Amino acid sequence: MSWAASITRPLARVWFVCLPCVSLVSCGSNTPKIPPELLAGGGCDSPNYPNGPFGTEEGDTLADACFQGFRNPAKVSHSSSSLETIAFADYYDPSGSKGYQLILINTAAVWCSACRSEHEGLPQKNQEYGPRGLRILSTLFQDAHRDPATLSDLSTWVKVYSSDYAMVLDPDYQLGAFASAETAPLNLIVDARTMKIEKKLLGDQATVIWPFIDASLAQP
Amino acid sequence: MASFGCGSESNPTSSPSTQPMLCEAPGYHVEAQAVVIEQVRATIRLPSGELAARLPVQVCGINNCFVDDTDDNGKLNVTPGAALVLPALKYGDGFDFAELAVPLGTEAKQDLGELVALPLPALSEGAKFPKSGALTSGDLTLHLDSKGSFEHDILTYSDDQLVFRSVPVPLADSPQALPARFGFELAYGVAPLGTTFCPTAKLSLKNTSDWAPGTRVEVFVQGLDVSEKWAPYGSWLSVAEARVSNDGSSIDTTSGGIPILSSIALRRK
Repeated sequence: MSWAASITRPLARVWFVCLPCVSLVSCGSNTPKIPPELLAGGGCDSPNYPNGPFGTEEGDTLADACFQGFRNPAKVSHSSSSLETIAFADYYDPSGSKGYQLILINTAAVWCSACRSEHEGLPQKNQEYGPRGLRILSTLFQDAHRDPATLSDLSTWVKVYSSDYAMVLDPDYQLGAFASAETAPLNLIVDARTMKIEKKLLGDQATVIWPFIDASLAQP
Repeated sequence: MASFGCGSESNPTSSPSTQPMLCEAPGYHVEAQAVVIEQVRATIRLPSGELAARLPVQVCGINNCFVDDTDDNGKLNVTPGAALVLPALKYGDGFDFAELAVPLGTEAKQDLGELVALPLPALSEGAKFPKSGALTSGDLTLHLDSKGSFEHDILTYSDDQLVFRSVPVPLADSPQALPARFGFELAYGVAPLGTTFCPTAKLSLKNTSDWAPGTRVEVFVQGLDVSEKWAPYGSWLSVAEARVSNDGSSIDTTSGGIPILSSIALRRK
């Protein structure tokens, strides 16, 4: 059990926001103010989500988190009117009724050329593995200057990379509990039936990620 | 950045054409072993000798990036503690400073010594991109094909930052990024980084070294993009041949050209 495992769910949001003060994003005095509409207001209200304890390491249960973004950027305009609240809980599928087996949660930043390179290939992977039960959710957390990502950044990102998977803003870097804001990308592979973290990988480790996903989806 | 290949219809900065020219990125990726990089240290100064405080730096492999800033004394101390494929230190941000890459090799802990960050000209001094024709900043002039197109990195740069800027790189101050074994004699940092040209842009530059008329020259670009679509990451790629003009005033490409805006170096053949 990780050091964070004793945290209960109602506290998870506070914990996610305030713990990563190692980053320059969450608590830095020079951080630009984040427009409230880009924060997932109202918190997560997903009563059927697994109970804690939650953690950040492999084998731990992922705490729920909510974001503003585009669930399928390929099907909507990339304006504020298309933003919707997207939660990890949306992909929780204990009975398999939604057809979700695995979730790939990925962080990205405009300054991060490795993230950008990774996203060039994600639409093809989504086409390949989506029908088999994979859902991809990527969180854009910083711009080219390491300031919090904005709707303009998100809109340009999904246009440039033809993103056809959930792409959301994480301007207050809720995923900072998993990796500092000074490194990217982070990839989490989560079991949609339990919301347990199956793999946690720093960097674009394609030779690990995709064989693991392929093998996992092959299991009943 | 791969999606910025020529011929895309997604970018409004592409010049209009009834039949868009297609330029496929050659791609330079080769499989390489990851190496664990624990720590990278260096001191960065400005050309004046002043320490470069709070300058952004990155230690990136093609699989993972780590960002940091120099401290108030111009010192950088990046501690990835991670396995990186083709690790390189990138210094200069491509906005205020020319960006250069220093390949890191296989040592876990590396001290790169002193580096010099080169300020780019102010945005107000930059040249706006015409749909075709000549584009000059400092010693460098790019010639954009009348039937061609170009695409900017619109994720990184805002519209007002999409102006051509160049600055000479003193070779003696940058041996880490411009190793002596290449025999480079001239080098330039440019912005906006990542702009791709289809077909490649012709290059002319002032013959500041007074090379003899007719001298044959090789032109290189440095790969700063980990996608390695247009140049190998961290390394230098020969992209064009050039020749000193008959009147000795300029060096002009004679074959090939600049496929992507990235740091440029030249040597005599």
